[in-house]
Amino acid sequence: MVRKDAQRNALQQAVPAVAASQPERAPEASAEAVCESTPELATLDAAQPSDSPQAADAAPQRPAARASHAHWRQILSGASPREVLARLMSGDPLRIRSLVARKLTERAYLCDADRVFMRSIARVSRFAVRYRGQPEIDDWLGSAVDEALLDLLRDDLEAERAGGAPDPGEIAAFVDFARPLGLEPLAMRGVCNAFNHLPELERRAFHALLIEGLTLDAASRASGQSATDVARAARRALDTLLALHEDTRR
Amino acid sequence: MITQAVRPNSRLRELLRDVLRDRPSAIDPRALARRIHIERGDCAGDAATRVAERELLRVHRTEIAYLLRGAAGLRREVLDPSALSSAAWRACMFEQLDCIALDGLRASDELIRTLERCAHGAVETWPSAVELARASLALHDVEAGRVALAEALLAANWTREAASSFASALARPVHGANFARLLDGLIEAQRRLGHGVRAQRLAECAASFERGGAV
Repeated sequence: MVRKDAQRNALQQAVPAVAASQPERAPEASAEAVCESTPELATLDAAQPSDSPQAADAAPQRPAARASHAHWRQILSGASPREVLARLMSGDPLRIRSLVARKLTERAYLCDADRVFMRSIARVSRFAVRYRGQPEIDDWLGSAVDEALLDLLRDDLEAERAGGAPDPGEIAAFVDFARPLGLEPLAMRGVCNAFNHLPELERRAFHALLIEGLTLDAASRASGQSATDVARAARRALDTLLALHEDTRR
Repeated sequence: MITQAVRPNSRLRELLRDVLRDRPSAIDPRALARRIHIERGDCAGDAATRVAERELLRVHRTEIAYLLRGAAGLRREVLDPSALSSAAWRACMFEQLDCIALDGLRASDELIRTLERCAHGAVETWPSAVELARASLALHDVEAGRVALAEALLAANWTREAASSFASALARPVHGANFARLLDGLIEAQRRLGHGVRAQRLAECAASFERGGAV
């Protein structure tokens, strides 16, 4: 709680007073952020603009990544999904873990990276049978991680709505997130769900200012948005989460 | 807890309760799960391997549920039943049957039979859209599955079952697009059942939703 108050204070200092007077976002504005995660999904909420700072940062790394993936056929071909899964578990030869970390940062989601990694390699294993080299392996793996992320977001949302007892393995993922905020893991799941369904601009602004601890100027430069817009977006995200937190405590 | 989802207000909740009093939910999840299920085969290995294999099973389940939902749409001719799309669907069903065998998964006889009928036969010989949508929901209980089943029931003129499925789905928070779809389906079901006053009240809720007001 102390840390939450400190974060709120830090943000409030960073956020221009004008931000507080902005109209609220329409409640259903991001209602479609999570859709079915299967091939029918045409509107990845997480679509990353190619000219974003993150994409630009990632670009120089791609030739090296490609070289490391030169042996993808040996890993993905001619085996059952379970066998492919065992290969992917053994030393992460396609470097999917680092791809997951990059995606989580780019998309500014609050998710347990291990869960995303496990779901990602499961998806890669299942759909390896369909992969013939197009699109390029990096792009194909990136799509698999995106789909895995959306799968998990949808699962978490459904689990919360169903209101049943959570799977202990899954709720364990929220323990580390919850502790510094003084929340119960179950309540943290609700906060993370709410955060992950905020508009991407709000998630990114919140992530940059409160999680990465960037200054407002640095966050503005990184996002290509004005400092005022970044501050307003972060403020809206924070207000949503604080309201939810209050709701949870009641 | 999810602020972005549409939730029914007290007026709509009361109407939904009335519908469900007429006929409780048409789905018995436990009975359904006994008939349609898929489980992992033997799994030896460390804890991480077991977690990864559990995730793989989920991916299989989700994919099968997705294929069955799509098959239900093709069966109802809601999706384009062109030769290309039904052939693509059959190929995916074949692929899934292969994966089940290769991974040593234990699927119920009814599920295997359903997948085989879809893999080998023309669309018109597939199980009914209701059966396909039910099987999908048994494997993966998600909003899209609940919508698919309610709509399949209505299309098959199982109007009371459709009404209770629409109402059960609406009683939970749902995304905006599905909310409107479910409410429209429920209104239609109520009209067909001769509950004109209730249909009118539900239509007022739908109009309020379209205006962006409270529902």
